[in-house]
Amino acid sequence: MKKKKTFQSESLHRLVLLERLVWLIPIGFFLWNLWVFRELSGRMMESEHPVAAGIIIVGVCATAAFVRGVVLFLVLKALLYCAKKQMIQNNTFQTVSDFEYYRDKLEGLSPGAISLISDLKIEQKKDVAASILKYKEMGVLKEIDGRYVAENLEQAQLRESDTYLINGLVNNTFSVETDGQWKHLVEKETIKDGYVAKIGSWGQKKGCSGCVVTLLFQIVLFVVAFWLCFHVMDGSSGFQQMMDRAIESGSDEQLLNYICGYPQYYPMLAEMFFALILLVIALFSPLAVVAGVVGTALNMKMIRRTAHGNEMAECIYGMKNFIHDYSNLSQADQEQVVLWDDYLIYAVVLEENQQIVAEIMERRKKV
Amino acid sequence: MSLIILIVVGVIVVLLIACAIKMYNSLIVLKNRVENQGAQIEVQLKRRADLIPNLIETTKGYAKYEKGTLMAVTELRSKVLNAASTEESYQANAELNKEVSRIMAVSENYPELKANTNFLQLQKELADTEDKVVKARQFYNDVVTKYNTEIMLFPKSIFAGMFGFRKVALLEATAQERESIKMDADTFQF
Repeated sequence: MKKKKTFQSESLHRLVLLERLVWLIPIGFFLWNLWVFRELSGRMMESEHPVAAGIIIVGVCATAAFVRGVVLFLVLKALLYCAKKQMIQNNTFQTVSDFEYYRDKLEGLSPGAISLISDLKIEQKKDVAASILKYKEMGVLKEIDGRYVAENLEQAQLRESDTYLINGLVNNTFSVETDGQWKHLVEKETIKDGYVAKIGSWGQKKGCSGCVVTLLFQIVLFVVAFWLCFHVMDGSSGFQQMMDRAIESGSDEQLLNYICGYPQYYPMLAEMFFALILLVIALFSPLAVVAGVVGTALNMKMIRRTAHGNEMAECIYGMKNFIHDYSNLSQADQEQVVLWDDYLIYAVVLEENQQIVAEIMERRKKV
Repeated sequence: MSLIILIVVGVIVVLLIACAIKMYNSLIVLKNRVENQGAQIEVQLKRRADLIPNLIETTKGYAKYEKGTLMAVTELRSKVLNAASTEESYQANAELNKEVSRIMAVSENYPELKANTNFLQLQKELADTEDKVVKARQFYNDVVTKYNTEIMLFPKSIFAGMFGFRKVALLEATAQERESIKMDADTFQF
């Protein structure tokens, strides 16, 4: 049975971590509010309705936290969540044979092509580092006194992207950070080899189902929040009067102090705070949709894997697993390319060996 | 009070059992990987041994060898195919390599043989398979190192000893591999 597998790339891990860290914004504000209101909270908890008092304290702290951090939280959360979702989609392929490990060499694939097939993206640093390693193994590039020197270029079967990169390295005109031409050439060659294909237009991507869901969600939140508000306000005129006066309070602390004097209204207040939180979420959800669209657009690729590319992606995935589980290539250094040849290059391009990338980039900086 | 102590002890015991199960499972995974990679070496060695009869068949029409060379090759091939362990199979292959190298060296003196497509194809396949054997050995040694490290690290070493996980030997270079192949003049009959 065919199933889907996803490349767990470093950038995906980073995005997942960042998305989780965003929760620290409301949690931080919430904890800070709890600390500020600690004395008042203690007094409220001693009333006849400690559960309702607890809900009010949490409600006030949560509302204050939301009001202070809601824009930042919602924007970042939606941006990173949608970016992560899009990246997962980029890194996912359909299996054909569903094997766990692939041990043979990936014949005919350059480091750039491997990178592009696996996550539809060229990460210049690691891909250039892997290419440099490959050229050294092929014997077309040497490092003499901190400078790159090309040799035997005529005998080697090099492609346009290889020649471009080697020339750039030798003449010191190639910049890992800014050069887009090498990326473009690798992409062109991989498309020509039939592993990936260009997507005609943005329309071929999935529609805006997320926007519709968010709109419906927003309507439901508004309905529930208003229903709760009316339900509470209709219940007692005394509560209405108390609320009118409470709204005039200057700060959160004054408000809480005032509320402390009316323990009989605690259950109603708890309902009100819940309605308020729902309203805040409903009000800011369109902002989240905009941020989500930006996050998706930033990670959306105008290429897709072909059937052949899918088959190759499975081999690359198997190779990554094999290197991870069966070798210590994560600790190998550049010189060991003689011993491991292509496997060390795969380890670099598949993010199993970070130290070689760092080492090569460090040397490039010195040059 | 005694109930609380009992609960704490119970929780600690459950945690210890969970840790032991996790460690045991991870060691089993590593052990299986070692066995799997060992089997991969044998697959490549047998594939290489299977190419030998074709090689002899192709070359004997052109070159003449000492009877002893051919007998040794046949014997060593069957040793590789019937070896009981990866190590044994690997040792036999190292000896077989030496004899195959002699056959290859003889072919250098026969231009017609060197031009034979079948022979060239076999030569390429032998080289490819040999490369795969070398790589498989490197991966085997790496995975064995991972396994050996795991069973020696504390606290896994305690569980490894209890459950009978033993250190596995690395595949080191054989004596034949260490010494350079000496061309024996007696091998050739011109």
